[in-house]
Amino acid sequence: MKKLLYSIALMMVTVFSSVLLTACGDPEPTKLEIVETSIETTTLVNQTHDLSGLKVVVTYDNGDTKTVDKNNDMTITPINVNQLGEQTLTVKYLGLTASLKVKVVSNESDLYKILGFDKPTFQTDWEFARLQHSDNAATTKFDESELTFANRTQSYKVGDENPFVYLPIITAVDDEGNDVEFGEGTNYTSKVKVELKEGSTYTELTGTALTNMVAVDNTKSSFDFEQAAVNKTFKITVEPENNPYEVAPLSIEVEVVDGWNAHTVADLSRIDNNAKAVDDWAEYKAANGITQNAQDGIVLHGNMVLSVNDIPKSYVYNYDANGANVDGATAENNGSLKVKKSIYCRDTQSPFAIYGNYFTVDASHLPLTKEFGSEDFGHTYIFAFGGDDNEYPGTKQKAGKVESLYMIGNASKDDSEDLKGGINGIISSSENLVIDNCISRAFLTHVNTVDAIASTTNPEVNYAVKTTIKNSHMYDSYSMMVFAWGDVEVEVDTCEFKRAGGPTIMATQVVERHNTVENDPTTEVVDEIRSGNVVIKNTVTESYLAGTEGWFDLTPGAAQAVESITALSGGLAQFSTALQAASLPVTPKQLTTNDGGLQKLNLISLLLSNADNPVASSYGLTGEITIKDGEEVKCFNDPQDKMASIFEAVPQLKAMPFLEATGTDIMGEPLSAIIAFNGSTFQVLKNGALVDASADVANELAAFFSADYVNLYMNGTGLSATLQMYPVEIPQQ
Amino acid sequence: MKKSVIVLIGIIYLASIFVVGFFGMKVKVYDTMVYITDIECTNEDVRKETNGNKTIKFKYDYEGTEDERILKNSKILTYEIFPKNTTLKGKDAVMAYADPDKVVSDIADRNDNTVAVVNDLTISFLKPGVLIVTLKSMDGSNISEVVKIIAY
Repeated sequence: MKKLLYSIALMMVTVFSSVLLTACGDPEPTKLEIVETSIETTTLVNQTHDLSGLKVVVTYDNGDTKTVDKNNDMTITPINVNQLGEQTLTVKYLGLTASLKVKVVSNESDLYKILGFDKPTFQTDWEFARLQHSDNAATTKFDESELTFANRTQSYKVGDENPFVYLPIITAVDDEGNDVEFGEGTNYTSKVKVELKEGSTYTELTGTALTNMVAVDNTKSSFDFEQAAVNKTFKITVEPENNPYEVAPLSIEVEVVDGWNAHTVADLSRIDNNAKAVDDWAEYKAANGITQNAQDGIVLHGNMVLSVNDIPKSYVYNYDANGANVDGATAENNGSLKVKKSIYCRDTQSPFAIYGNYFTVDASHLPLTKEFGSEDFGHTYIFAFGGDDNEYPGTKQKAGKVESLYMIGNASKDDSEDLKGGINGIISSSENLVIDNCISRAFLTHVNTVDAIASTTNPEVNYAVKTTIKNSHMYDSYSMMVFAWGDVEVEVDTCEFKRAGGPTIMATQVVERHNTVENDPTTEVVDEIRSGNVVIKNTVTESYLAGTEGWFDLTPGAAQAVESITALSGGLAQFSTALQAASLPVTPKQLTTNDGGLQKLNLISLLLSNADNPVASSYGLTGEITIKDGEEVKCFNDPQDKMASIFEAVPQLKAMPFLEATGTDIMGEPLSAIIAFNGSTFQVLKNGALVDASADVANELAAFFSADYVNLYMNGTGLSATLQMYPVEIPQQ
Repeated sequence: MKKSVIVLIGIIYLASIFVVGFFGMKVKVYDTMVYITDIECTNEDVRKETNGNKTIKFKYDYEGTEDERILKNSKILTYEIFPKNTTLKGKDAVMAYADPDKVVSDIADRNDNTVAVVNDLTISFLKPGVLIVTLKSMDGSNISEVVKIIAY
C-alpha cells in the first residue's frame, strides 16, 4: 500500500512539472549584438587582435537582454590582421549572427576615434549672441531682451590683413577612453572647400580662382584672404583629411572686410597707433609678439576680457615703497587707473572700423581711477577715435565705425562715489563716427563726442565732428549714455537707453575765456562759445531718477535742481487737475512717474554751460536738442533763440522756472506753449505776456498738456532740461 | 494751487532727506545691479584638464532598451554662481547652450547628427559623442563656463 501511494505521488509530481514547464516555455533569442567597446575596433597591421574581452548582448522576445562573455558556444570569424583596411568580424551564437566593423591600420596614430568634431568656440558664441531673448522682467529682476542685438542677421566678418583661423574643436580618444591629442600642432590636416557666394549660388573655387582670393593652410586650417576678396562672401567647409572617421564637415559663411583678425585680447592693442603712446605700449606689444598695428580695421573672433595685464603698465599707478615713484604713485592710489589714459587710441588719419561680430569687449575687471587731478570724474575710455581725452586732435580725424559690438564697463548706476572713477566707453573727435548695432552696459559715460578746434599749433584742425549712434542699446550708467562737448553733431536713431544715473543725454556749451589780468576774474574775457546739435529719433529713453544717485551728489547744483523739479511737478499736477475740474480741455500731467514706489524724473536730456556754476551762469545757453518720432518733432530745445525773444518780451521770466512744450500739435503745426511758475501759481505766456489760467488761454493750456515732453528752464540761465511728462496718477479708491 | 502747498511739499521732501542724512540712513531708491562674475560647474565628476578646459567623461552604456540607455547615459549639470548676492538668481541666472545642430529637446526630432537630447540642464546622450555645453550668465555680464561632456 505504501509503495502504491508513493508511486501515485511521484506520477503526480511528474505530470504537474511537465504541465508547468510546457505552459511557461523559454524566451526565444531574437537579436545578437557585439558590444563595441569590448574589443578594439581599430588594430595595428600584423599585430594580434585581442578578442578575449569580447562580449555580446542577446535580446529576447520578451524584451529582456543579457550580456554574455566570450565562450566556446560562440563561433567567431576573426579579421585578417595582415590586411589593411576595414573588415567585418562576425559572431554566431544561439542561432543568431552579429557583426562588427574593425579597421586594420598601419600607424599607431590611427589607433583612436574622433568622437567630436565641433564648431570652434567663437562660432557657438557668435550663434548664441545672435539669439533673440524675451522680456522676462516680470518674473525676474532683469529683462533678458536687453541681451538682444537690434540686427541679428549680419554676416560673419573676417579681415584680410592676417589669416583667419577656422579650426574645429577635435576630441579624440583611444579604445580605453584616454584623450588623444588631435588638432593644430599634431599631424592633423584639414580638407578644405571654399565657395564664393553670389546671390544664392555657391561656386567652389579651385586653382588660380582660389589662390586669387585666399591662401589656405591645411595644417593650421587658416585662411589668408587677399584684397580681391574684400566685400565678397565665401562659404568655408572643413573636415579631417580623408575623413575615415566619418565626422560631419563643419561650415561657416564669411564676408571679407578690410581689417586685422583679432583672436586674442593682445590683438586689440593693434588698434592703438597713438604716436604719444608708442612707448607705453612697447613692452606689452613686444611681450605678446605684436609687431604691426591694424591698418584699416579690427575684426573680433571671440569675446575679449580685459584685465590690468592687458593694458600698458604706465597706465596704472604702481607704488614702490622703496622707490622714487616719479609718476605720483602712492600707497593710496596704488593699482588704480591713471586719469585720462584711454586704452585703445586710434589716430584716424585714414578711416578705421571695429567689427564686433556680436562679441564682447569686457572691461569690467579694469581698476577704477582714484586720482583725478583737476577732473571730477574718470576720463578713461576703452576706445578713443581721433586722439584721446587728453587733448584735441592734432590732425583731421577721418571716418570711424563700430559695428555689432557688446561692451561692458565697471561703472553701474550706483550711489558709491568710487564709481566716479569708472571707465567710459567710446570718445570721438572723428569727422564721422558711426556706432551701429551695438550694446553697452555699465559705463561711466557710454559715448562722448568732442569738437575739433583750431589752435595756434594746429590752425588747420578745424573741422565738423559728427557721431551717429543707430540701432544700439545702452543700459546702466553711473552718469549718462551720450555726452556732446562743444560744437558737434550727434544723431541718435532707433536706439534704447535705460537706467542712466544722470541725464540720459547731455550737451555742453563750451565757454572759452581768459582773464586779461592773471588770477583776476573781474578781467575775464570770453573768447569763444561753442555748442552743438543733438537729434534723438525713434529712441526709447527711460532713466528714472530720484536725484540721490551718485552722479547728482558729485555734480554741483544737480541734486538741488532735482528737488526743485520734483516740487514743481507736484504743483503742476495739482494745477492741471484743477484746470480739468474747471472743464478746461486739459489732461492733468506731471513731471514725475512712479518707479519702485517713488516719484522719479525721466531726465532725457540736459543742455548746460561749462561755466563753474551752470545754474547761475551768465553766458547764456546755446545748443539744440531735438526729439523725433519718425519725422514728427516731439520736442525741440533751442534755448538761445528762445531766451533772446522771450526774455525781451517777458523779462521777468529770467527769474522764474518755466516749462515749454514744443513739437507738433494735433494739426501738425509747430507747437510752442509756455507755462511759468511765479512763486505762487502757474501762468501762461500769451501774446508776450504772462496771464493767469482761464478760458482765454484754453488753447495754450490744451497745447501744453498735450505734449509728451517739456523743456524746463531754470531761472533763465545756463541750464535747460528736457523731461518727459506723465499723466497724473489717480490713486486707487 | 496755493504757494503754501508747494512750499509744504518742498519742506517735506527736504526734511526727509535731512532726517535720513542725520541718522546716516541714506535711502537707496533704486536697485543697483549686482552682476554675475563667475559660474562654476559643480558636478562631482567634472575634471579640469591641463589646458584649463573642464571635462566630464564617461563610458557609453549600450545595454538595455533605448529608454534605459537614455537614462543610463544622462548627465545633469549643476553649477554655482558668484557672488552670492547677484541680482539674478537661480535658474533664471544661467542658460545652458550647446550647438543646436547636435542636440534636440524632443527625441522625435533627432537626425543623424544628433548626439543628445537636452532639457534644461539634463543631457541625455543618444550615442557616443561629444557635447560642448556653455553655461552662460543671463544678466548681461557675459560670463560663461564651458564644459565638454564626452561619452566614449
